[in-house]
Amino acid sequence: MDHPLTVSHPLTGGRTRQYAKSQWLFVALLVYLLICAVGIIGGGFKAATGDQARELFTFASNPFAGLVIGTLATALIQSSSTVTSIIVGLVAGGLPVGIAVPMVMGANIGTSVTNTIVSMGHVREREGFARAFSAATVHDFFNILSVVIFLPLEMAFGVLEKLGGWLAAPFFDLGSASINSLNFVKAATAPIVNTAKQLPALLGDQAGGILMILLGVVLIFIAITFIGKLLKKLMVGKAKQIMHTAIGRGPLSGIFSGTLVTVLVQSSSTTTSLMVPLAGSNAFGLRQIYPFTLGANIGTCITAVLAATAVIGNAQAALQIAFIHLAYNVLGVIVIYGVPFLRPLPVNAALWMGDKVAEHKSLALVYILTVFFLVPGLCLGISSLM
Amino acid sequence: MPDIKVLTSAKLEEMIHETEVLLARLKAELERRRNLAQTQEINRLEKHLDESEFSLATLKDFIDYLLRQMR
Repeated sequence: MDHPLTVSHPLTGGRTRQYAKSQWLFVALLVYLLICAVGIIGGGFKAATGDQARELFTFASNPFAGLVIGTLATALIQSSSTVTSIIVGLVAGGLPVGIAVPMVMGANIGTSVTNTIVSMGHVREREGFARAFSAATVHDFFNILSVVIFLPLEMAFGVLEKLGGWLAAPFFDLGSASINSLNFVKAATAPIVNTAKQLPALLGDQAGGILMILLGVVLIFIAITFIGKLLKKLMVGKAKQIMHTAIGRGPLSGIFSGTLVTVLVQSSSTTTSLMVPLAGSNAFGLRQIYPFTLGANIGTCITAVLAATAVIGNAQAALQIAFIHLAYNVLGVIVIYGVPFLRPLPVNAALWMGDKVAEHKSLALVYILTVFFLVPGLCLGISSLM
Repeated sequence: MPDIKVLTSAKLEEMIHETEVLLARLKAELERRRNLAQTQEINRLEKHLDESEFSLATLKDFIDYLLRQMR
């Protein structure tokens, strides 16, 4: 029973509810802005490149270059949702799906730099730092292993491209009941996107198109940053509830909880960074955190799928790349977590790395610079010479 | 601990059973404590969310810490 003193005043309670309602309205507005922004990028890319998108991105037709672009862009922007949403927009504007696939793989690697930096906050306590750094890098090692497995498969057989195509096709093969005729969101975003499309008419196709792309990127960044901040506040109670439910249950429950929490807060970086203090305090072991981290990879795909449902232009390809991102992350979990000899590899590597950086703390900096910037930069340089 | 070589088989079985029961109780208690610690950490989720906020200041503090250690 509530203590009489803890019962909120009807006016205060009403004000709180009203405040929450206004925050949710703001979230809805930001989601609308995000979808508009993806459409603006698509329109801008189409205007700027005409039918030359493939030629323009010839430098990225080498899959390693695409992978590096995705990694570097995400490591710098600190948000895989932003980068994958931009990629969806570019695909809608004519970027070939095959070129975009390694980019979304790279976005997965790039996003894990955030929690690695967060783990550096634990540097003052040796054991805690080792645990925190391991909790952060288990995500890095999983994502790198995932690329090692799936990039060659993609290069040889185009597995993900085909899978994404199959998943997207039903939404466009239903005749009159297709996604286009039922898409109210597209109709709602059309006024904003069409207004932005006046830019090429005013400034010329190329300058106007580039300006549209820049505008779209800025809007996506703003929308995703504020959605993340607001949802973090609004959904913390729900996230707590989900995590409480997962305690003492198996890894599947951990994966599911990680997915749900990430969908709620719309950011895999938030979920994986949250694991860092939980591991640092020693309440959660690395083997408990690992499945939760994998769930974060799956949950983060929802943003791009949402954005892809309402793009203007090559909508089927946009939905295809969003589904490729989802399929890649789901398959990564199934293969790496499902195959017994692969499952412990990220955990063992992260534990080893945690011990090493606790011993020689400057190695943490070397690790970040090497994995997220130096190696991708070198790969980019080498692939441009090929 | 008595000399197990002189104990009857029945006594040995009884001791094994008691040990198994004790072991199960100890494991259950350990599990309860772990779950309790996890519950308490999750109850502080707001604080952890603040701690896990990305900030370049974390990187700066880290570098400052390394430089201080080197001196």
